[in-house]
Amino acid sequence: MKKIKKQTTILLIVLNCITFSLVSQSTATSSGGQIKTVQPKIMVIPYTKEGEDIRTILEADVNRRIAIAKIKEAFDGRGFTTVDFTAKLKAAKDNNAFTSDNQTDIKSQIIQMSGADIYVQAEVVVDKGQSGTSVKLILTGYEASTGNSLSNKVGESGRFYADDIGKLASKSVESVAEDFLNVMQTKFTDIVNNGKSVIIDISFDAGSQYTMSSDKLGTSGLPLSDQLEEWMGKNAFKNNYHIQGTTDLKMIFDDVRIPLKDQLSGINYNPNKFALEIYKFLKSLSLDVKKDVKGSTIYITIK
Amino acid sequence: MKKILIIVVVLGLQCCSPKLQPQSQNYSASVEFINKDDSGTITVRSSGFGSKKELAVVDAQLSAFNILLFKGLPGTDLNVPLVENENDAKNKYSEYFKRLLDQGDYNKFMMSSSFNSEPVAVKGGFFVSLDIKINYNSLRKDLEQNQIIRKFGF
Repeated sequence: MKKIKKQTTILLIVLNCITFSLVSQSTATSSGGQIKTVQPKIMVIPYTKEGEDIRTILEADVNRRIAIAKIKEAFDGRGFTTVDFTAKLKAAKDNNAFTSDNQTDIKSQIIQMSGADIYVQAEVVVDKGQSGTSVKLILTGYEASTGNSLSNKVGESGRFYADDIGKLASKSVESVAEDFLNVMQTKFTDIVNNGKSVIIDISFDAGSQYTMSSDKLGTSGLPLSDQLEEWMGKNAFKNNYHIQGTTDLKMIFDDVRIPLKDQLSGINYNPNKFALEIYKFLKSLSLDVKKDVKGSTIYITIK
Repeated sequence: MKKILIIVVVLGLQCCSPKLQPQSQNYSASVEFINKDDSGTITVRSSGFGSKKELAVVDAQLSAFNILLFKGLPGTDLNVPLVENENDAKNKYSEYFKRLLDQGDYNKFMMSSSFNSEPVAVKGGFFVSLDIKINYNSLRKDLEQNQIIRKFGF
């Protein structure tokens, strides 16, 4: 009897310790019920022509650095922190992250590696003439995953008899930065209201016995592609989706809107959670599925 | 008895009739861009009309703020209005806009206001043209802090 009592006491102490550790852990990370919307990561990058080395272009060209710094300053002025391109470039160089010498690949590798959702490309064009010098700035903002354009503006410094290109580049940025950000913000409002865009690529494993026209899956007797479209219609945010194309072996949804927040719980929603929903649906059709998520692109492979 | 009934009916109708729009609702679009000296400020030329000079000045100032807030100024940094939907915002945040526009809180964001030309006496009052310098950066921050508009981002 005494032994049982002792064992019970030890068990209670152990349970108490476990409960305490669990509670203290959640308290440490708890935000008291406050949920902050996950903000997009924005990176400002220089425009490079075919064959130009992006790795050295910024170090060599102070004017591009000035333009980029001014654009970042405009973002900071609106209380928004951007991802630092130069730091990412340096980190990539230090880690030998580049797998190719192709400049275009390097640019996309940096964008991918940085995890940026949006990148802003800045092109600086210097025009020297007899009536003075002017600097034009072409600013373009893209959604990294879909390539959707978010904002485009051309800034001009005006023509001056001056050799200080940096100052002119700075004037050029100032002339459009505010407007550029305002247009971008209207696109963000659209995202808040109508959902974030993701790409969904559904394909089959080489050895798969199924195709998009397989109609023996589930109880509806419909081809798989139609079942997928039906599901997408029900589950895309506000029924907002677009199919790029369907073949027997592939189906691509190039624009499916998902909410920024879970509509029931109010917690942040992301492409990974949506991928899980697709995964569950395909599993319910007794399919063996593999899912990958890269940024805002969901890859589904049916085995 | 009949007279009393008529008075009651008239008073009743007056009570049920829609309230008159506040002055800030009826603003003129005659606001034009003058220049942008420093980042975050804008100078506009705005005209106003009022039975007294002071009222004409307030009318011009309100027009400038209303245009920047709800319409935007084409060809400037504020091409896109600060507030997306005027009616929705005014209904939802009526207290804020009452304070800002009707009770003169907009003065906090007005760096200067000067006559562009002498006030002109016209039939029924005065017509004025003002050059107004507005700290729109600070105005935007105030709108963000009061959650009238979202901060940059989602």
